[in-house]
Amino acid sequence: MTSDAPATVTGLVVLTVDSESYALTTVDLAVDMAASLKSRIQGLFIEDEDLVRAADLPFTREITFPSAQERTTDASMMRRSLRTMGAQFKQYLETRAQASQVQWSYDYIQGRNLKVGLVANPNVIYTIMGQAIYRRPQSTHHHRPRKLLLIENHSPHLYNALEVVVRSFGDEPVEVVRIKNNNGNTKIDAIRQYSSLAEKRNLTILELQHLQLHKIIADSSIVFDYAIVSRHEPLDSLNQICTQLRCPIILVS
Amino acid sequence: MKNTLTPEALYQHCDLSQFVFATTDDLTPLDVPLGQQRALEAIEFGIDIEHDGYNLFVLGGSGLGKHQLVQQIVGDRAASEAPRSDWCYINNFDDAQKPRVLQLPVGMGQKFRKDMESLTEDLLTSLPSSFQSEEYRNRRQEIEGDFQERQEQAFKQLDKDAEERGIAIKRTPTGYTLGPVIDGQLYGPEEFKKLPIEEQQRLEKLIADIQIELQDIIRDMPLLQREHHQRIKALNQEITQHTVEQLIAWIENVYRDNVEISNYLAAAKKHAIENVQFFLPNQNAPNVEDASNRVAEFHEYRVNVIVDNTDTVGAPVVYEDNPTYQNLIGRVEYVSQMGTLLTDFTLIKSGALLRANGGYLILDAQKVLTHAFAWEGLKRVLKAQEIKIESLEEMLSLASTLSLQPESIPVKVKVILTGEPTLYYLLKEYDREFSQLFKVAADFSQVTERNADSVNLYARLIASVQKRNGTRSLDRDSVGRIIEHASRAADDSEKLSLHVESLTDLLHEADYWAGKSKCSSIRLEDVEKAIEKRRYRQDKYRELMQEQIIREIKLIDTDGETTSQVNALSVMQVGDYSFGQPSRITATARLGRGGVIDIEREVKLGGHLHSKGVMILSSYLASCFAPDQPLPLSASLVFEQSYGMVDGDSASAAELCVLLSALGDIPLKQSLAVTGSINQRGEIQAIGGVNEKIEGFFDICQARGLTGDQGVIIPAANKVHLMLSKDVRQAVTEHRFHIYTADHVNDVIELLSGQVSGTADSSGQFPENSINRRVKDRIDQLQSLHQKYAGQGDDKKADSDGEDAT
Repeated sequence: MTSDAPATVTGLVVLTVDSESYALTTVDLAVDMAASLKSRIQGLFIEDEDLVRAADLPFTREITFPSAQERTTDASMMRRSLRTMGAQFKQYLETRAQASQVQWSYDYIQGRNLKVGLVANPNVIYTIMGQAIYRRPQSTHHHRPRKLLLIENHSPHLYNALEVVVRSFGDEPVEVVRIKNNNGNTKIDAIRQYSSLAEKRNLTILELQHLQLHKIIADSSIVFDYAIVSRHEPLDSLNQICTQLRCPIILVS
Repeated sequence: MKNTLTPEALYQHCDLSQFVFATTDDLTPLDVPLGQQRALEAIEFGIDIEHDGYNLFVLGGSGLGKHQLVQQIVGDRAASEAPRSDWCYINNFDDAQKPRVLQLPVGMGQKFRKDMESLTEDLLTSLPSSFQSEEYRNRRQEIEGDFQERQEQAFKQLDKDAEERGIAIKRTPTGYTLGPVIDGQLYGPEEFKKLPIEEQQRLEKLIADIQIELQDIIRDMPLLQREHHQRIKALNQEITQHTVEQLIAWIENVYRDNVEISNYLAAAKKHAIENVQFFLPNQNAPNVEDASNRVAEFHEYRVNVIVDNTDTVGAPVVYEDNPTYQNLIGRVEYVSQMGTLLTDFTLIKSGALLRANGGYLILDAQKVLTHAFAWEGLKRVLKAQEIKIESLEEMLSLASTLSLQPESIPVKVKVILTGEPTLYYLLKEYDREFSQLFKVAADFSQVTERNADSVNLYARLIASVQKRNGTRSLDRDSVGRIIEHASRAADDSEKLSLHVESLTDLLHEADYWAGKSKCSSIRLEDVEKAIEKRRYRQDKYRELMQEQIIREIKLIDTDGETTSQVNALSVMQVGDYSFGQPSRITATARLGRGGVIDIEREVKLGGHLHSKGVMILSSYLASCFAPDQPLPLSASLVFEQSYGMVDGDSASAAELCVLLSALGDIPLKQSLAVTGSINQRGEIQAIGGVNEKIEGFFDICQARGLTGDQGVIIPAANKVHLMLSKDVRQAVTEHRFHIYTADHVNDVIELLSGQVSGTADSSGQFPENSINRRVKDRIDQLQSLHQKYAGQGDDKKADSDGEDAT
């Protein structure tokens, strides 16, 4: 399903979610990003094929949350359940996009979130992949400083993504772990931009070398709210980042 | 004994020589009410005595100055008494539906209210600041972090264990599901079926085990959540307690001697600590201006001062002009919010009883009795000695809204009712509780004796009224005339009317005419003019009725002689103006057994007193002329051309005379009019309105031209009541009109007929040719006829065809 998009709008923000990663805050952020770029947004709800297939196993049970009741399930029941969830996602996306005057579209597809998210498309500026934060509903009270992982790799829209995310946190303090480019160089303009943002917002930036990236993502004690990752990262690195990080990931072209 | 009155007997002039003043400016106003000593003493007793039920009922006609006097006495008394308390309603933090009451020293109510408002404002400013502090944020973050960690740790550990054993935990839209994994992908049914049975069984068991662990973790979530909330709550309470205690300490210190306030503050402190979220703004940091605006929202901490005696000197004196139930008892108001009626303790309003608590409440009895439930409410409070404010709608079950049950307030109030004597006696008769609750009656006199002392005091009363109302001063002549007018108003030459309102009106009107004459003081002619003009303004109906007589539409003879016809006198009342007018009474008498028929009574136009008068004259007739035998008489009496109610017995003497005239065929002078009631012995008794009656007949005679024979016969006992108009007095002086007094009906009939009535001798025989002899002979004749018809056994016929036998 697609809304009427005038030809003048260029660029696309894609938001991929599945049953594990659907969160309203991620939708809000994706719409804000599209609005900041004056681009369209495409919502993709992914029917996890593994989940549907496993639902047909004879002994598969669903443990409901929060009652912890056990109930039998099958593929058709799981599909119905996922379609309902997808419809909710679409409805919320529509509401938010219209409120921000962002052109939007929605699709319900089968597959795997990671695979869909990593597919490169020259029109896509941001791909936001929802991720469950340790499989629990997000707390409404964030009194710890917000944490962002920023992995640079020559992406021109990286700073904009950072600005939108930081703005979404309001006045809350934000810690940014910035993984510098492979060559360790950062353009002068980018440095100025970060400094300016740090002055305007309650922001601290910790700069690390790219070599330390894998150590960071493997450390389960570090909880990020979002990761902003350049698509120019090697594919295996991207795979590793997306698999290990338990937070929404913003892939930046 | 009949008597002709001299002009001096017709009017009691005021002796001006007894006055030592030139004008009322020389007089000292009265500081005690004239002629109300009994009432005054009763009021002083009533407000002095402190036992239960000694409330007052001040009774007397309107216009006697009851209310003014009561307010003056009670006001003076209250001013010398110690100030009473302030009363406040405060929130009951244990049960908001049952607000608590506070009794505070005078002035403390408002102070406490303001202090609580300041405290609320302080809380609204300081509490959000405390929650914005670095210290609080750090500690909260610590708790949140710990909670998240524990929550996540449990899932992570299970996730890791499951993954190591080849099982994936996947999130579904409504929960979690588990499945075996190979190469990072969940098994489908086909792949699973390809596995050896043992492997299938192993995986199935493994999944079942992990599922149990997952269920345990999910089940523990609420406990973890609860523990987290409790830790957050404890932290909030700790921060709040610290802030609240600091802020509330000063107010606790101010009111430390008042146990009730101290208890209230302790409850308020506990409530604030437990409900800190109400004090925190939703978004932005607190600012002082916002806090001030939000104070009004915090009803719980407000103080509703329902009785504030700050500006009251001494004990309160309250006069409630509109004593409805709500205005007396108090009420609980509601506000409409989103179509729902809401209330709280700040909407409790006090009534007059509460405002007068510890003092005096003055009420108009009639107003209390005519407002629904007000009388019952008043009695209930006086009996219970406490006020329970509840809405009338709720009391009557007319509204089903959730209402308040405010704590009762002990009441000690002296209630002073003022009202008409009729009302007092009706309440005495029909309301048993009235006697228990209003034990003191202060009875105001309508009149006082007229003597040298009282006349001088009355002159001072005139001076008091004059000064109080700011009218011109009065000279001696005008004072004398007003005193004479007061006697006329009292209908007694030996009394003075105490109707202060009429006196005030007369002074106002005389002052008006003095002003018209451009005089600096009120003179005799101003008073005369005021009296005359007032009479003129009200005189339309009298003139109309007089005109009917003059034009002979209403038949009244004022000369000649006629049998069976007499002029009686009656008084008409139109509003507060009364005047006299003559009425023609005629009689017929014949053989029969019907006695004396009062036609007015037969057609239900006669009142009880009139009927009584007719029965008395029947009795007199029988005892005087037929003591030993039945009276075989059917006589009828009627007020000719009377189309309304006739009441009173003042025409009974005239009725007897006209009956005697009919029986004895005795012509009666139509130039005379008669008034007076009789008793069974034929004695003439005093009647009311004698002046109006005389003047009424005089006016007719004067209009037709006075002949010198005309006059009025009045009871001798009424001589003292005469305060006749100047015209009548003048005519009497010139022998053109006469006032006769009579003691017995024989005197009246002699005056009317010009014949001797005759006194019975020892054998009961009246002298020949006397009036009574002629009556007696006629009755004897009727006896004979009666016996004759009785012998023929035709009694019934004689009764029914009576006219043939007369």
